[in-house]
Amino acid sequence: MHLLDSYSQTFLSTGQERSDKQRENFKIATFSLVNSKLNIGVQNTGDIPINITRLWIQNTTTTDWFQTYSVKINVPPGTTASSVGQSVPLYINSANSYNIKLVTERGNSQQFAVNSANSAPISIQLLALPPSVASGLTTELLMIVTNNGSSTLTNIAPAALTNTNPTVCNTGPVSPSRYATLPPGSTATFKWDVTVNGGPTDSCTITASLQNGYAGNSASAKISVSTLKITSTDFNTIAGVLTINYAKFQWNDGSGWHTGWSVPKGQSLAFQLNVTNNNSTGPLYLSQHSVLYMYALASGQSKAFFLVGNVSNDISQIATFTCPPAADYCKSVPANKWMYLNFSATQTGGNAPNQFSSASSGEYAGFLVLYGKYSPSQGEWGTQYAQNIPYLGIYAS
Amino acid sequence: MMKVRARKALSSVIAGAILLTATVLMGTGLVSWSNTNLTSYQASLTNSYSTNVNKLNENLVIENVWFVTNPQSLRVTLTNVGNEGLNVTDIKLQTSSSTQDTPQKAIIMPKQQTTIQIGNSTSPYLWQSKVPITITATTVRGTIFTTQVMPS
Repeated sequence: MHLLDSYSQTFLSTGQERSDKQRENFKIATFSLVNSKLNIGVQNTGDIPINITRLWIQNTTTTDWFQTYSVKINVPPGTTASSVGQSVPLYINSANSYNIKLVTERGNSQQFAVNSANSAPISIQLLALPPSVASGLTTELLMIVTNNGSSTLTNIAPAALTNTNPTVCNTGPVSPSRYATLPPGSTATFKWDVTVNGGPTDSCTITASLQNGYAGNSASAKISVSTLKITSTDFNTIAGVLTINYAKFQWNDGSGWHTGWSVPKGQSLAFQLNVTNNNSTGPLYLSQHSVLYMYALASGQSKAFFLVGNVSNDISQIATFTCPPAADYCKSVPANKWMYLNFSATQTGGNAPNQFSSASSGEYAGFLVLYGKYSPSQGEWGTQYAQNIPYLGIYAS
Repeated sequence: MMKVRARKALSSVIAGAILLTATVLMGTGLVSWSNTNLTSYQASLTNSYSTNVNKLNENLVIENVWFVTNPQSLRVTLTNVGNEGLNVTDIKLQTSSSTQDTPQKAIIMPKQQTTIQIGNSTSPYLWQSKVPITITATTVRGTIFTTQVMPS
């Protein structure tokens, strides 16, 4: 009976030791170099105390460099022991990489690597979000580093970015600047704000890698300058379906086409405007009622210049805006296209050029009033559309 | 006429004495035989107990393995984390394509460790990068401890 009791007691205590070993759980919480010596923070994440007894270190940069050091550090459950390694007479060369293993009294261990991103390639992704932005705007560059190895990496920091076109892509500071530790399977994320300046064809390619990284272990992302586009719906809400190019405004007094805001009074005049149909779905057939109305700000002699056909330098040869046998809608502005329109006639469908009377010098505010219909063809009813386009101004003298 | 002569038999006292003597002799032999057997069984049981308890108490950790490049070899560090001394008699290295047995005689006292080098300049152990190796240490009591490592 005594033997059986003793045996069962031995069995139980051995089982308890095995169980305690399995319950041990710890991790490398922090890592840094202080005075070129190891400064490791070990966190006991289990529910029993651990006693770290040995530190193994291998310099993987050189061949066959191994060291073992005895340490004695007790870590109660739920606490973190700091400055582990400071008492070890070992000086770390930050240019080298090391594999370090901490072993507990019960025989469990945790291994990690120092500056060892250069020992094997790891997963690096570089994303520009978004990859195409308008000039003057900012995109975000995201570097995702995943530790696909079996040991904890330390001191993970991105190297300086390689930028093929710094004038186009201006990168800001990285955030965060480093990760102290990166356990196996974990991911570190670094981000930069990149301000883009350039034309629509400009771009840059940015390459990111890690400090002390594995040769060739990098990732690239291309950032392009895009044209800022507004959908026709948005544009129409703001500016209307029809727009004019104010810079193309011209007038003709019989001596040729002129630019500028000063026009002669007492002479026949024709105005030419560059009109764009921003509707992307169909052409706009213009009505002969379209008119350029000049509102006299002082004299009270406002004038209307109706839509006409072609205008030559001979102002007396104005073509009417007619197209027999059809009565109206003789000309169309295709979808998303522009066209020059001439305004001169004193009345709808006429060919007699209007003029500012010689007694009506002064300022005039112009309004282009366009009438038309959106229709597949001239003869179909389509959808009538009219729009007033302001902001024109002339001075008659 | 024939005369009948009367004969005298062994007395009952002598017969009883003989019987008693025989019984005593047989009993003594039986007790002696039983005692010998029991002692033998007890010794065997004690020995078996000791062996099993000692085996049960053996606790070895393959704490670290260095992959040495020159000469290509392994340095296996074994730590006795149990309460009994133990004797490692064999280390077996096994890969998917080869098995190598290296007889040892490494006595490790409790809480002590020893490092065993497998391979040398004349007979290197040709480990290969990224090829896992299963290391099995066997003690004299027959306990087996195993781990797996992979050169980077």
